[in-house]
Amino acid sequence: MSGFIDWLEELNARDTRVRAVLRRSLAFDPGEFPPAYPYVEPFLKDEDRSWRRQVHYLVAGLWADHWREGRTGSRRSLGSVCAAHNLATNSASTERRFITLLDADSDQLPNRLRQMVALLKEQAIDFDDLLRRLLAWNDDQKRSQNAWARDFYRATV
Amino acid sequence: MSRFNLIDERWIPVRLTDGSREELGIRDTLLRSREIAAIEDPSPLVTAALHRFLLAVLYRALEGPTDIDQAKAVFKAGLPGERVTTYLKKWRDRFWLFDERYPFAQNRNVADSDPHPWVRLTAENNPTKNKVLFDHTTTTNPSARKPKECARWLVATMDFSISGGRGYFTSPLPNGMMCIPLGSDLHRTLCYCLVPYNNREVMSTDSALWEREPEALPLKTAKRHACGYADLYLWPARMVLLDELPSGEVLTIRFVAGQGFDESGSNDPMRPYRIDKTRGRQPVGFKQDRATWRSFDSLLPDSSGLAPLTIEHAVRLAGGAVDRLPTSILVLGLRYEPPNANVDFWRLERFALPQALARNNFVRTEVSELLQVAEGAQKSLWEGCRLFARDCLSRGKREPEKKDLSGFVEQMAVSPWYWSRLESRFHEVLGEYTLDRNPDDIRRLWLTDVRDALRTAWDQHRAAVAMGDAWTIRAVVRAERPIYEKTRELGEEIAKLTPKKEVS
Repeated sequence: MSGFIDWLEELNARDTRVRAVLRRSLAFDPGEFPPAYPYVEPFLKDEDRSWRRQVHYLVAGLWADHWREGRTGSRRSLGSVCAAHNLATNSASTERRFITLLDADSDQLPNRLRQMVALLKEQAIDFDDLLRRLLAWNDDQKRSQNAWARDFYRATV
Repeated sequence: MSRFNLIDERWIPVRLTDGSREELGIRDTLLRSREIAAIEDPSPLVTAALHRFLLAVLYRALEGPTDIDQAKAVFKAGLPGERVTTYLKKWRDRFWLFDERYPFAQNRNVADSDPHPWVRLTAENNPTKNKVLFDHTTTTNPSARKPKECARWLVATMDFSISGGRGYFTSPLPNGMMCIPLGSDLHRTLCYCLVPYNNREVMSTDSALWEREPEALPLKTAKRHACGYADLYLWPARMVLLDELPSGEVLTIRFVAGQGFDESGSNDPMRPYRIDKTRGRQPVGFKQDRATWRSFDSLLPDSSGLAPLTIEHAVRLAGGAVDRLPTSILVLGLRYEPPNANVDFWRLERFALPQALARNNFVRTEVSELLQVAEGAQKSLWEGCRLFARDCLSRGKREPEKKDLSGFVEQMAVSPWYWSRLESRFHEVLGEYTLDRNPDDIRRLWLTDVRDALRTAWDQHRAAVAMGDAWTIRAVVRAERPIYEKTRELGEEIAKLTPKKEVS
């Protein structure tokens, strides 16, 4: 696991308000909910880059929203869990949502991601992978989008 | 008055073994053949036609060969200079380019027909309305040309006339590959191509165009078979008469339909053949979208008898000695789409001849198997491209029209890149086919090249489209399965062929 998710897990073990605050932060633009600052800022102390700061706040909120006590099963990438959900529900809308997510720009991404993660509450998401992929979201080669697409379609085709 | 005798005048372009270039007459070209490296003209059609013309002269001068022993004797001892000289002396009067009675390869009976610009002699110079990019001649008002140039084009016209209908028949060669095994000098090249007659009787019925009286027009029979190799190699597909200017040059010609060639049952020694399910034995031709090397196995001899006789004969002459094998094969010719009488393209390519042919009768099968591996991998690539095209065009909601799909796939660079990557490697493989090389080793390396080319072609395509929108990303990911399956299959076969390291 990356340092950030470990950090959040340790905070969660010590303070029961962590997840509630971070979950509420999803209603605001990432990094715009002051009550969440004490839980994220210490990890970002030297980080000035705007996108990296937004991604950390977003992932923190999504992690909190998705967290379940005693969740089992190996954690997988977002592409893989979307594929699993697609196969389990046989719903045509899952693929459409997934495509829409891949097409999101920086402004659209938080909202679409929030909706998608909400849909996947039964699946175990690898948040380290999520963080890594979101940090590279604006890469010219679209490596994150391609990787998730590969994970999705290799499981569903 | 007779002018420009092809026996003496300098008109055949050659490269000597010392690298210098000259133009020689028929006699010097044949008698100095061991000093000549190759016949070389900018036009592959002229190059091919000159070889065939010289062979026609040799067949008549030597009255053979009629068996392999005679052929081997000439190969070893050299062309019999005295017989060649005697023959040329006997027929000297038929080799004047300009003559009142017997102009070479021409017919005075067409003197009253309409004049045409000399460009009609050249298949490469399409009419003005169909010009190709680097052809700057104008067919309406071209400048006058020298006799030596007209002589070259005249022989090329006999071999490479194409048909536009209206009574104009094709020469024996259009749309066929022509294969000339090249030796270390012209003597060897001519000997490789001097395929023996089946027997003396066939030889006795053969004759060359210049030995016969010019045909009266109209011709008695529109089409006929060739009566032997000399007849075949300078076929009067057109009746021509050059109009000589006072300067000695040529601006216009008389040009009418000539003798039609009946292909049925014919077997041109320079051509490879294939068996078509419905039409039987057919010559192998060039295809616009398929490079020649992909059909290279059709040039190699085996028991089927479909390879060019010139290459079979060359291997027999070599008698198992690698240093007597041809150094390479020249493959040349043109392609056109009848009834449109315009040349689409012409090609001149050179291939190394696998040395293993000297003593291994299975080289054709082995090379054929290598090519099939490449074709099979390309089918996977094509399937991947088709799936990508389908998902780009329709997003999976409906099946796109076939023509839209094929149009989309054709403009993708994937397959052309794949083939071009393999082509250079294939030429190297041919050079690696030595007598002591293990064919399994060659196969393993080739499979590795094919797998790498397949992977890289697809990776390049993916990199090019990966920056697209999500639907494009979806399309490329959904299309990957055939490529990965084929890559895995090739990997498994490579592993089987890889020598196991001994464990001590």
